[in-house]
Amino acid sequence: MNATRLAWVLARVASAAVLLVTWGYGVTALSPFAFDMFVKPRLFPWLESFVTWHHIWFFGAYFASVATLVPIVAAGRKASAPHLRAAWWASISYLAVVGASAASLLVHPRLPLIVGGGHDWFVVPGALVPLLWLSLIDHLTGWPHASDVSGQPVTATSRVMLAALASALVVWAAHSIDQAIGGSAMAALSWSLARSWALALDAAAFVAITLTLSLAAGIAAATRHPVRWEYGLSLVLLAGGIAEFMRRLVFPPLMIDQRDAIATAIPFGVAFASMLAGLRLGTRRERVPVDTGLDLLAAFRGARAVRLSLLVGVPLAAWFTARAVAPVDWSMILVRVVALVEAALVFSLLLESARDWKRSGLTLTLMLAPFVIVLALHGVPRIAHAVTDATGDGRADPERLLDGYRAADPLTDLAAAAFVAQRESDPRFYGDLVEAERRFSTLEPETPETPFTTRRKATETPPHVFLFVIDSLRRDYLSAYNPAVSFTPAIGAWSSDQFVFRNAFTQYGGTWLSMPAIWTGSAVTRRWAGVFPWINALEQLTIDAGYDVVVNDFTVASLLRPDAQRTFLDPEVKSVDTDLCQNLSSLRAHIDGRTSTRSIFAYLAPMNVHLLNTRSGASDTKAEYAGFYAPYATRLQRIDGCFGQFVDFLKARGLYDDSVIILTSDHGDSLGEEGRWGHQFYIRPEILRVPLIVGVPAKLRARLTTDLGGLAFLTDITPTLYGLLGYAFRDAGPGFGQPLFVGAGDAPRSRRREPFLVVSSYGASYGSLRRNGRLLYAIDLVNRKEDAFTMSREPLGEERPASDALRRLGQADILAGLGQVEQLFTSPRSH
Amino acid sequence: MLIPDDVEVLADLGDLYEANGRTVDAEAAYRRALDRDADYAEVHLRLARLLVQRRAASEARSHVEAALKLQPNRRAALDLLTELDALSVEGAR
Repeated sequence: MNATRLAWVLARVASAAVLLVTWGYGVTALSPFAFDMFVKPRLFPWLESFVTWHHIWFFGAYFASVATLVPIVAAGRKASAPHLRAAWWASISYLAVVGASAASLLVHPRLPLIVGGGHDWFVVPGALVPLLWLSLIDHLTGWPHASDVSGQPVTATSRVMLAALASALVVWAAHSIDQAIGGSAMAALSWSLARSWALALDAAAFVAITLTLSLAAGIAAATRHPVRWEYGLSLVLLAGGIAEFMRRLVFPPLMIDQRDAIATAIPFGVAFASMLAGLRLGTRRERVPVDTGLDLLAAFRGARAVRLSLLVGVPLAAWFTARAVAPVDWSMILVRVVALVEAALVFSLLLESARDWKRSGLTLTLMLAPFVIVLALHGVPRIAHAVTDATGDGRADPERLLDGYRAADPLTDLAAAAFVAQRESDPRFYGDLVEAERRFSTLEPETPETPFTTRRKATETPPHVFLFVIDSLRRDYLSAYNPAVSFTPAIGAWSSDQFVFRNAFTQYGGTWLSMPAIWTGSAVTRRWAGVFPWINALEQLTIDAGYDVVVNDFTVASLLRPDAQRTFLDPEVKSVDTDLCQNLSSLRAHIDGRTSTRSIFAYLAPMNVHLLNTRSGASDTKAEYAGFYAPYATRLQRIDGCFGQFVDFLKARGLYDDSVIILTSDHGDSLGEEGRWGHQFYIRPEILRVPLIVGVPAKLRARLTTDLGGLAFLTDITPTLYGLLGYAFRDAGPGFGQPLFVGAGDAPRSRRREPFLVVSSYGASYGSLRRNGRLLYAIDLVNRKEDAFTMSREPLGEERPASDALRRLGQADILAGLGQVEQLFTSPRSH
Repeated sequence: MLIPDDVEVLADLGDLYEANGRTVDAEAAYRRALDRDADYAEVHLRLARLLVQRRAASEARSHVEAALKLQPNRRAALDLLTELDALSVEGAR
């Protein structure tokens, strides 16, 4: 590639990047949830700067794209060929229209005005228009070379089949390296079955693409312009594939409405495919005719040695990229994109190599490949079923094998979604759930007629309250819950004579819903923010009891009452960097520096052990971390020390004996078990289980009883504080938490027989927790997949097929639970 | 005898047996329930009551203490403990 061509490519890529980020920002704003989660917390500082200076960036992108059109414009409208004259007109109109838009943006910047839930047509799909326009120009200048070519052989199916099978093998081998085999014979057998199935699925995906391309070639061959038709059909297929990928795998985790998803995915697919095609035409070394539709896909025409190096380099680069993006990934969107790009590049490289393939003897063998693959697709799961039945060992269960792909092998997961028959689901239930999910996600809660709390004034001076909600803290990493833990001595020592709730859960698998639910002491809908100030029972309590309030919780910070006085600790630290040690240091300074005698209420939600930090941070390699995720244990050990120092500080200041200290987390986490990481989208035991340790002043302790083996929820914390402070938290029925303590003479209320709705904060996953938390039934609505667990084992529970009875009960519980939440926020309350 | 596997059903079954005077079956049902969920304070208490009735004081005490660990200061458990203390004094005489 010469310098001019390289400059052309760089200018085009730079302008496309600006336009795509603009479009991406607009798409994020389509979902209030995505906007609140990714944009408002300022997770990406560069994005904030991009939005602020978008008009300048847009102008720069316009300038860069115009530079690539200079040769066409310079050639003038009097160019000899009609297609070049058309290209000239297209370029001139591009200069005028897109230039006018750029100038308009300089006067009236639009991107900073977009808010969550808003839609600006100028941005979505408007930002894609220049891409399509440039692609049109590229095709007008490059495409006509093909129009004169007739009688070129259409795609040789056997050649593409060879490339497809070789691609499947390369991608499969690259992904297999990452899969641990395991020590036992059963583990090895499960591994073998899983990898055989993965190979069949990968090959099926590539072969399906081959057959689709061949079908397009076949259709094209029947026309008067086979090359032109094949190219066009290939382009349509590419656009359709990209659009479907966006609609099915990118937009649902961002909670973009299904209709918006379709309306947004199609223009994107068309624009992105056209852009790639334009780039392909523009970067060809020579103005050679487009020979087949595959010219679009076979992008590398370098020397054989270069192609071979790339064949090794691409999977390696994909592996490193996937590792790098995983900590900031969202529902595997990025790793799936990486896997798809990897597969496309490998296919592209091998397709080019297959051009030289001359031997025809293997053609028949290659044509048999689809039949062998179909046999494998059917055979492997049957063998896995048989092994499971014979051994009673669930590790070879086909559903579990498939589940393993979801995190570890995104390409196979995509293929499985297309080729593996899902369990036949009850269409009526799913129809009802889709409707309930829509209401749960879009319901704008009504302001309650009365607040959730009563205001019966307590007579005593309230105790100090220190509430530590440590994001993603898993209870099996605390010695109070797991005797194998030796790296949390301070928390262990403190909790030894406190109330350690053994059966505590969050009803929300993610900070976004879990944190507000702690404040309100009740269920919330996904759009809780609009009504939060009216249902924030915990803040009301702090106001009524006259607390000196100290907070560090970014989830609700902007929704706390502006008229109430409070201190926000360490406001200069970004939410993702919030550190318990720093918070406690600031809190100590606040306590020592104040002149007020009011009781202190502190609510801290540090992110030390959140995946965003543990997966990218350093870790120690101490022997005591064996069997634990070391980066997590390293950080936890540090904050354990800070917690211990704070308890000592309270004792030294004479505050400890008059303090309620609560240590909990907003949810658990998957820490690489079975290849899973994070908590955003799954409903699983390790995500729902939380630690909950409540320390109360000794003088109160003798007056209370509780049930440490009974169910406890995070929504119980606020009602519990009401009780401990002598206030009454109204029992408003389903959806509300309840005080965990009763008077010493009373029997604690049992919730063993009640089902409880559990919800993923960020995905359309719902579940029912039954039988004192021993049974969990969960539905992943996006993948139409169900899971059932018994909680017998820490931390993962035991996954098992759902019985028909559990399925029916669980499904009814989920619909009833969602109905209760809806009723809570739509019916006037008279309590 | 009916042998269900569910903790709460076992607890209910024990209750029913107890109400009908089938204390041996009730005891067995409670024990099964505790085998499956040792954190069920109410069942510890019910079993302890049955054990007090047949004067198995030592085992009854362990169940009362287990119940008190789970439900500190629970009046019913403290009452039972007092009863056990009285039994041990009586036994010592």
